[in-house]
Amino acid sequence: MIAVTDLSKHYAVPSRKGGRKHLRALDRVSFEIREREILGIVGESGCGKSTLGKAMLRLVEPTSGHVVYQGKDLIKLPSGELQALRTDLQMVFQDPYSSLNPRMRVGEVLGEVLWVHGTRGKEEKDKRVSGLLDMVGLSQDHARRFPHEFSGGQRQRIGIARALAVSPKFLVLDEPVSSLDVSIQAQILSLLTDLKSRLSLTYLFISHDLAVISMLADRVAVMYLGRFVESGPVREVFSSPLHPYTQALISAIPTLSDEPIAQKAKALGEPANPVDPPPGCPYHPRCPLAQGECRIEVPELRTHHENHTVSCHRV
Amino acid sequence: MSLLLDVQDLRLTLPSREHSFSPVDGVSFSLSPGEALGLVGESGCGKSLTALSLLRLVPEGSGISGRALFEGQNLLQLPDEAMRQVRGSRLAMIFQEPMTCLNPLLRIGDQVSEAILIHEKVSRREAEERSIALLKQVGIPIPERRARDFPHQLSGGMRQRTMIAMALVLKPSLLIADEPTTALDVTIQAQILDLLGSLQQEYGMAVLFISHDMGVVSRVAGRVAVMYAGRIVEQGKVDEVLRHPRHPYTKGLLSSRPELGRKGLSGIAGTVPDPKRFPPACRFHPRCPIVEDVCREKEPDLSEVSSGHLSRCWKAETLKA
Repeated sequence: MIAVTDLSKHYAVPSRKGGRKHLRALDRVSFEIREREILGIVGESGCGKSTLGKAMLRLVEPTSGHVVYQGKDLIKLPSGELQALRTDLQMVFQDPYSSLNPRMRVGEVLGEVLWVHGTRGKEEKDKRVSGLLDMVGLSQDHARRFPHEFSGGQRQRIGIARALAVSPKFLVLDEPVSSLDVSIQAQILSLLTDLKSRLSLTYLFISHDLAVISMLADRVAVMYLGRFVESGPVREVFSSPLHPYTQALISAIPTLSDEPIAQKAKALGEPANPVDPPPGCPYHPRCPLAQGECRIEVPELRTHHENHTVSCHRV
Repeated sequence: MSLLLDVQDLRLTLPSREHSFSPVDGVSFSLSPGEALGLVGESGCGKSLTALSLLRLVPEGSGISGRALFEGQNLLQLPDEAMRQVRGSRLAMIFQEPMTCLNPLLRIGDQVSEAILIHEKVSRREAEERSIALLKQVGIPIPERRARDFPHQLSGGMRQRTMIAMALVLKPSLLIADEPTTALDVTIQAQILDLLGSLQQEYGMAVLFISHDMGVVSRVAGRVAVMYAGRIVEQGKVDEVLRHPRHPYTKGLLSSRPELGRKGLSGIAGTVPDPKRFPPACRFHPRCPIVEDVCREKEPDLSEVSSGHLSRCWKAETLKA
């Protein structure tokens, strides 16, 4: 459905000695998403996962790369044509409160989206708004309320309704449940699963929470310092992770089972500064398995078997 | 063994424009020396306010009632000066966001030294040496150099380590940790939890560990108390509560929790109640999947369902699996 090739986003940051340095928030990332699939993107803060979601939809302008959708490269498209395609490609953010206008009633928020994308008649608009509210599990009279009158979970439902207003085919979900309480999180996750099958949607699901990804996604890509370090079918990546970083992430999850953490899998220290990434494999300073070549040469992402790829010298 | 902390019927009443309300409402629990107790619940359940009430760090005009015996003294009735002595020396607290507790204009080494100088008669030089030793102990690399950093130069994990170093200055017998790893990435969280565990051993320190995450609590605590709407609804050994929850809220929390490899989440219907408007009778009844008439009429007591395992539910017996 969507093919991403060598997508990069670099930011110029002033360096201490004067002059500029490049922060590679996203560094030559390539992948494909198939129709009706959920691709999970997982990684810790600053790994570039949100930048990836935004760069794909050109909510930030990528530095280079291609995003091909319906035979068109979104990155090269003039803004008018891009606008037309945006109805297919929508985004849901982590904090719906900061992305909802506090002075607009929910009905107006949704109505505005419909208006921008061509729905004119009031009756038609009202009908669509109530249909949307119903779809995300809210009731009709919620249309007259303001965002502050809702709980976090309800606001996220509004965020989802707004994304769905233009009948998209593809959604980028950026940490959609991270700010919610766990009992509410589960409600939103089942809503998303339900909507996906009902509306035949395709998701790029971004999360720092491996467990959430493992429950929802078909395939997963693990990011570290702007790159994919491992990707493959969810079940396989989580049951037999190849990359030491994926292993560290999995063993760091506080599970309710009482298996002890394997000492070797733990990540040492903290992530490197993305402005000044270490030479060689970006993970090597934290990797318990690092050896000579890891410090010199950047490992390429290669296919380990079938759809399971990994970038590590030691696998 | 005598108890280190014995809290009975703790109640915090806050004033508000319409009528006063109690976000912490009759909470009782205890801690033995060296023990780690987890306090778990979702936002607005009163877990943080329980801790702040114990330290008497609550807004002016609010009322605290009940009893909190700590090392034989009732914290709730200590004169202010005596309370100040207890805070930071016998009883220390760390928070979710260390940046809000660290002074942005002071080097971290000086902040740790300051804590030493306030409570002990030592030379500045000696305080500095001790602060560097503490920073080293909490896992800050090259502490001599890091001590000269300002808080903004540190990562979230390093800031939390600094907070822990400050809390340890006077070897407290009780550390209250309020969501200390919630703002951290998962690999860093694992490091901080390991650190807290080893310090607890080394110092023989009791820990009251507050978290929204049952998984985190199960890593550090031996016992757990689950809070909902200002009340403890279940309490017991972590293993026991995890394997055989006897309150529908705990059960719901556990089945809402995403786990690797699990398929299908059930969640809990409805929303977390507003502390200003807790539901009558059993406070969980509007969201409870096994609610009956009695639950809407009368609130159950927190009572023992098996040795050391308490539940506040009319139907705790039927939850025995």
